[in-house]
Amino acid sequence: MSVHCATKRIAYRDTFVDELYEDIGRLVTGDAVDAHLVEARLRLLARTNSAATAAYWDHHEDGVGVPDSAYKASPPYLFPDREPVRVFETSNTTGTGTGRVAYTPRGMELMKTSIVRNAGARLLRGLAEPAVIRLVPSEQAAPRMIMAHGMEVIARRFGHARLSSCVLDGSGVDRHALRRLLGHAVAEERPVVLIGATSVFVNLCQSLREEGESWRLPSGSRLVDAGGHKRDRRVSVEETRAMAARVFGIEPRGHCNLFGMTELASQLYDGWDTAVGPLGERPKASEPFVRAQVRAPDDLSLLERGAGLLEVVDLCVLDRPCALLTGDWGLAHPAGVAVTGRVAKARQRGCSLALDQVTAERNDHG
Amino acid sequence: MAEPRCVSWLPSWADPGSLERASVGGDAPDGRYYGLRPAPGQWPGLGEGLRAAHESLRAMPVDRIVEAFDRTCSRWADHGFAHRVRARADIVAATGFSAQAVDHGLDVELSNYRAKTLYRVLRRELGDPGVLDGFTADRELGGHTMALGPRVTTAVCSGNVPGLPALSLVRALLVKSAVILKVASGEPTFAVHFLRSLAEVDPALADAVVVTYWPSQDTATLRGAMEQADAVIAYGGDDACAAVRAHLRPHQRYVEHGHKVSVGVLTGDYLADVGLREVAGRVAEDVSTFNQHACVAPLAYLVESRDPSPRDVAEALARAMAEYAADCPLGLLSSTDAAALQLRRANMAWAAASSPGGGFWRSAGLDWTVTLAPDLLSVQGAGNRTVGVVPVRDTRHILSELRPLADRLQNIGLGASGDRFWTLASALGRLGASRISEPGRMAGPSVVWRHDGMPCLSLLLRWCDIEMHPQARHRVKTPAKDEVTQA
Repeated sequence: MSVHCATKRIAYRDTFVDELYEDIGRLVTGDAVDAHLVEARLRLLARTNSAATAAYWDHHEDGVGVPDSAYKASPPYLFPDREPVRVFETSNTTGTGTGRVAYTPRGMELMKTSIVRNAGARLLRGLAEPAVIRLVPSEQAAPRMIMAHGMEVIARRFGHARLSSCVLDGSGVDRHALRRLLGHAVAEERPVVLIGATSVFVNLCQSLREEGESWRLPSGSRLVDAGGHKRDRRVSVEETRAMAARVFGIEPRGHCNLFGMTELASQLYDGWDTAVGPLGERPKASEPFVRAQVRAPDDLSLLERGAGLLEVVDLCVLDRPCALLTGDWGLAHPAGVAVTGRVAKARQRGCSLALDQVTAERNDHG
Repeated sequence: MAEPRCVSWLPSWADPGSLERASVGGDAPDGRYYGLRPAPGQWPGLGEGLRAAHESLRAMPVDRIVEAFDRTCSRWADHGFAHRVRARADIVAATGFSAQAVDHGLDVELSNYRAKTLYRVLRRELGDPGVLDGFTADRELGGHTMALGPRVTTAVCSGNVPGLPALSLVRALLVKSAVILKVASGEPTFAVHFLRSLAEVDPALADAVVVTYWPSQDTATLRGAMEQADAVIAYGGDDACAAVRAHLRPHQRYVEHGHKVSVGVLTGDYLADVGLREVAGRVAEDVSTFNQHACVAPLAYLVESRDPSPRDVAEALARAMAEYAADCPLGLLSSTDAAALQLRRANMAWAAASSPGGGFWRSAGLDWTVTLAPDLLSVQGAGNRTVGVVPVRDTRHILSELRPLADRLQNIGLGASGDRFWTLASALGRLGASRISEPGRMAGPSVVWRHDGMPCLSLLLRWCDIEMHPQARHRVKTPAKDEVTQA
């Protein structure tokens, strides 16, 4: 392994990066690679190649994740000597603008490796070529949406070619396509994996129920909901499962929640079917290459139990700092970390108003 | 678990049986406090009692009311005063403020209600305070005039500043109005302690006040309280004020203190004249008082790019904030507020790290945070002693930074002198500021100030003039008592 001590920027084609890239790939595929050492090398890379990251870590808690807001104002990108091959945009769920996240070819490859590895182990274990039906736009229709890309990767790698498709477009869920795909899957007794944003799935179930439409999908069918409810009313895990059972005949154990962010390369899946959060949120499974952890609100120390700020350390992130302060609440539990919602801005007390709220008001009013 | 404590004050004539409990902060089983609110249909009875109490107030000379507040607040000036000791403990428990921060806040707030200051506000707004007692000669009118306060004023308080409910209480009682005082869940405890101490000085005044509480979603109780009032005072954010406004009736007097923003300005000359360390100490005082939750607290200081530079000012301010916090710490934040502050800090730290001119300083704990920010609107959040230092070039730049805030602008700490002071003061006043003070004096506005640009006593009053009448030319003044008892 090459040692890099100089403060000179590390080039994309530097041996340091070559070796790091190889080691991350091996870590993901299960080889015996020291994850701590990989993380230390990723942090060194981030410190060396991003003056902002180095300054942030010097003037904040050393090593604390970069806030997700960073990608809105001045996104860190570690390889200015290599043009990004893809740029994804954040979804503006908090209403504070869209962020930009750039990927090198190696960054894209590591993301793909991570997605395939994690989905194979956590999501599609025991299923052979299921119908992967995505409640997201196609990657072609939404090239800057990372969820569309990630689900396309899963569908291509694991899904049945004819019965796997996206059923969401600009006007909502394409009911005709959904009926056709589900009908074929039922007729062929091929399990279905329904993947989509939590809010899209819940809205779809509600309207299908009102219209009296339902299916009994083949045994082994699964539902994966992602993203939670960032603005809408929040629905408990049990309610989500009840909807999946009523409308699609999916058994409770066939449900799994996925946590992903544009700023991350890896996704986190429910690890244990144990209700931990207030709405029954399950703890996420950490892997050698990605882990969720919780920082105490009062001093940012790492918590073994209890609620705090969710931080994700994703060793498949090569192109930017590997630690992200997500802006979500995490609940640390011996079985893992449950994600329980967004951290609200501080309460406005009485007649005092924040300056950035004035900006938001001005934006709201055009 | 301790038994929930009552935060309401009831006059001696009120029937507690007509009231029901409302848990402060919702129906959580671990609620520490509860207030008493009239049961459905009971507001008219309570309103009748308050109107009767108002008649007693109307017969009372204004001098006696001033004297009662003066004596009450002189007792509160003693940090060992029993009611103050209990109030301090309750406010610390309710808000998480440190005991020192609460003490400082109470000193700032309650020193306003001494006789000398109250007479100043009465004279400034009314000319002759005697107009509240009866007809008084009015030379310009060529007759006589009398000022009549509302029979009942409903005041909806906010919980951001400990002791703030006293301001609405003082304003309403000074104009001889009985009061329905609705406390806020954020700090519900101060008012009852203040009323107990007022009752010891002058029971008749305290007998004209009901301190109550209802949850913000209880619009039926809000409507009931407002139906009893001739005037309404509301503090709070846009949503809270809109909820009150929705229930206003025609002819009701209304005084609203909604969302406001305050900032400071430091010119190069002022910094040179006063000295960097002294100025930093003054700014730290402005930011830290009431833990920056008052709308009079600055969220940022605009600093001219001279010598010392804005970075020098930010560094000196960080030292001053640390010194202030050593004597008067922030206190404890809820996990929700602490998490929000940590995220704000992370955002600010990243913004500073990724900007060549940026800077970020913070305490080891959560006591204070200082940033060097490129512009005013990039300063994030409010409260809990987080202040931005924003470099500006000149007067034009100062005004362009503040212009987006014009509608919300309130208090300016203006560090300037000579002609520059008057140029800036005039421009800031025209822009929207309603108060200009020296840095270090932002957090303690006097009750004499036209709060949010309004004459807050006068807004509560109805006047009766006698003119063009031969009787009025000869009469100098009629004692209020005669007028009232014969009415």
